[in-house]
Amino acid sequence: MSKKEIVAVLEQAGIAYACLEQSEKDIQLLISESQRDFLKKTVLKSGWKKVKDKSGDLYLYGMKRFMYYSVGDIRVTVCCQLACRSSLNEGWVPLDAKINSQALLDTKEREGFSVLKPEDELCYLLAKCVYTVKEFKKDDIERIKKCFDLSDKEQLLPKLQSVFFRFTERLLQLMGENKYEKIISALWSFAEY
Amino acid sequence: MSNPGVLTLTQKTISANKKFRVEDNLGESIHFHYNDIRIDLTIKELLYLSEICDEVIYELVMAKGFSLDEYDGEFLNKYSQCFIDLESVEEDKVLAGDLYYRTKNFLHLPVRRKMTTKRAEKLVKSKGGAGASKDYKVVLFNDNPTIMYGEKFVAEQLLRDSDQPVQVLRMHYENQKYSEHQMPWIPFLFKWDKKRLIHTAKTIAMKLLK
Repeated sequence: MSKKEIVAVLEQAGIAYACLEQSEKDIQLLISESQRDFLKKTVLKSGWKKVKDKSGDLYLYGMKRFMYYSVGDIRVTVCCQLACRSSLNEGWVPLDAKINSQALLDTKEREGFSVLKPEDELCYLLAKCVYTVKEFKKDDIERIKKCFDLSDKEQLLPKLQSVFFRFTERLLQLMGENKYEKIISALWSFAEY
Repeated sequence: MSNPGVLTLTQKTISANKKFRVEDNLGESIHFHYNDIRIDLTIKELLYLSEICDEVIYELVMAKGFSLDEYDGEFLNKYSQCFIDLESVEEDKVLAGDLYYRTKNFLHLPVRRKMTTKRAEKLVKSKGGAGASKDYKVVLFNDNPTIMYGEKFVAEQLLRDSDQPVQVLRMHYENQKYSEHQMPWIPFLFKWDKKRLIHTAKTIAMKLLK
């Protein structure tokens, strides 16, 4: 099954999704929590094989665990909330409700996949780079730049502030100066609050 | 939802149902948590509160020779509740080889052992621990030779020159309180704490079964 065929299973079942990440052998999808049980039943009928989560990851604030499937040689990760790692205990924390409550409401289409609005994708990518991966990789920087250019800045600002709070202004300044390598250290040394 | 950038600055369990924690929520605020109460502070307010706490401590602790600047945060976190009984603090010099460190034996019971070269070498290689610092001296309680703070520093001195004494601070408490027992496993075993007894019994049983 190709990745397009994988998402076609969701589309045919009427399950709204957004593709967060994809590589040659991996795809990560966001769905609504209300459709989680329905997805579980649907994908098993379509031959998706459930993979046991051996990571021992913590999920905080009542977050639903990620679900892992293998479809042929493709690994599928399904989550119900946009999240990142917490610096406190490396558990997964959901991004603010300002972002999550609307993430699936107005998705866009890109190369045959449903994807997040640029503002939501930008917040997700920044949180991922700063807190989960702890690094700004080249591919992510390219995605961030594209999302920023396409973003509605009025909608973007309150969402960014819900993740980065008073650091948001400094974050945008560093992004504007293309100094992505300085963002993480700037955050950890930020004291203007 | 929560700020993903949270650092615990300090935390302490005061009693079974009383927990205190200070967190830095990056870019947002400092949170003081005491059970269900949360106080939000800016960094400036936290630093100001810290100065006030220093003043309060000096009002409460009237011991001769006492200065907060001589102790690091880890030591204060662990032992500051003892300071109310502090009578005086004096500087002293002791040979590293005459000092004892705290550890656990094969039964997981607390014991104290004399500092040796072997122990010193192991300590110096290990990460962490209170090492050589111009700001903080080794701390002993009363006339007791057990190291309460600065074990790694003692180890470094022993390896560097065992004939040179180590500079220490002796904290003298009312009625020799808080001195480590020569055999700390005795008060440990006879403190009737159900949780600890069960844990110890399980540990002993596992060791014996091995």
